[in-house]
Order: sequence, then C-alpha cells, then structure tokens
Amino acid sequence: MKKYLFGILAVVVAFTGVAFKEAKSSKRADMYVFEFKSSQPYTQGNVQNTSNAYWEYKGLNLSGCANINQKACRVLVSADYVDDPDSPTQLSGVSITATQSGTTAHVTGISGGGNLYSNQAD
Amino acid sequence: MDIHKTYRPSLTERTNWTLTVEAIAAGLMFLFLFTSIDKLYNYRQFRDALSKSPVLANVAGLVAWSVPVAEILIATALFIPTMRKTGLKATILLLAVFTIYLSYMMAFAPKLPCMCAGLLESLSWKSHIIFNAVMIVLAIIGIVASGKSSSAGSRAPPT
Repeated sequence: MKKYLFGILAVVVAFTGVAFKEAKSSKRADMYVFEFKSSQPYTQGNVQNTSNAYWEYKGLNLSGCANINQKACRVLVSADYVDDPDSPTQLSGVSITATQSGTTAHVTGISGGGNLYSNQAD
Repeated sequence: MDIHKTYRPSLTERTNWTLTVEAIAAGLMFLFLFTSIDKLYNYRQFRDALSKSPVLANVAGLVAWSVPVAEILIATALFIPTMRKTGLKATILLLAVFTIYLSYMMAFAPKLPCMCAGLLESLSWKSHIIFNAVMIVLAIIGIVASGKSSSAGSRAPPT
C-alpha cells in the first residue's frame, strides 16, 4: 500500500485540480464564436457584413485563430450580441470593421465591450 | 574484515532512489491525468483547436481522443511499480513527439496560440518547449533512479 501512496496522492490532486479549474471557468461568461465562411470572398464589404451568409456560428468558448492579420477568421461575442443565446444563428447588434490588404480583408475592430476577434494567415 | 558490511545494500541509498522514482512518477502522473481529464472534459474545444493547426487539421478527430487516452495509459503505467520504467520511457516518447510538433509550429507558424489544455494553457510556445524538456530530463532521472533502486538491493558480495 505504501508504494502506491504517491500515486494515489497524484490521482486525488489531479481530479481535484480539474474540478477546481472547471468550477472557476464555469463562472466566466460564455463567448459565442462565429467564423467567416471560407467559401465567401474575403472582401472588406463581406467581412464587415454580420449576416450569417458570411459569419456562421461555430460553437461556445472555442479558441481564436492564429491571429496573423492577413484574412478574417473568427469573432468571439457575448450573449448580448447574438440573435438567440439558446440557439444562436447569427450576430446581432454588433459591428465589425475590416481592412483590405491585397486580395483579402482582415478584421481590425469589433464593437461591444469584451468582444474579441482573431485573423488568420492567407 | 567484515566484507558483508562493506557490500551490504545500503537501505538509505535504496530508499532515496525509490523515493526519487516514486516522486517523479507521481509528478508525471499528476500532469498526465490533469491534462487528459481536461482534454476529455473539453473535448469539443480541444478538437476544434487541433483542427486550426495546419499540421493536425486532417487528423484532428483522431489526435483529439488518442492523446488523452495515451496520457491515461502512461499515467496507469506510472502508477504500477512493475510498469513504472515502461511508463517513464513512454513519457519521454510522448513528450519528445509533442516537443518536435511545438518546435515545428514555432518555426513555421510562430503566432499560433497555445492549444494545450489544463495547467499549461497560459504558457507560451517557447515556455512549453522548456517545460517539456524539463519533464523529459525528470523522466530520464526517473529511469536512472529506477535502475539504481533495484540494483542497490540486488548487489551480491564478492566471492
């Protein structure tokens, strides 16, 4: 039994650690992640258009993209900026600003406190 | 002259090596269990993060469950004393593969965010490589200590 003591301790600490981490992260507000449809041309006008023809809902609390400012990738918004927080389909009440660089446009700003954006490599 | 006294296995030495192996194995077990449970609990996010990697995008689904499963198997091996050495070798292999992946990503996509889970999500890619190197060194020390702890008790006196 003694030779398993460290191992048992490690198991207990690991499970406790995960439980604490999840409890802490569940207190954080959910972020709704929308991604620019890669089938659409990455023009400034399209990127700034918040309709779900251009920005599609991908899921809750997903990570951002590479953050290389070459073309649009994802925006992360709070529940106040989606059409229906229980079943979101599109962005609502938020404006996106984009800059054209060469053949593609990338996001340079998003309205709403706490909302985030990330771009990707071309 | 009491030759048996000279060559008798040193209990303190053996205990020290055993404690070293057990402490290293426990530390690695904690690391693997924590990160694997976290990956499985946040499976969708982990898979999504992998799908954003230029290297792993095509195998994101496979990697997303095989990595935590491998981590749990290694943690189990580290828990069982007779399999501990195998667990330490598997630790080195897994961390070496992960370090090669991180180095490749740093070289070709230096601005990619960290896709790790658990304790280490706030680490930069460079810090992550250093952390992995330290864990690999610890696993090597564990293997050496494991050999010392078993040989310290089986050393025969000279004839």
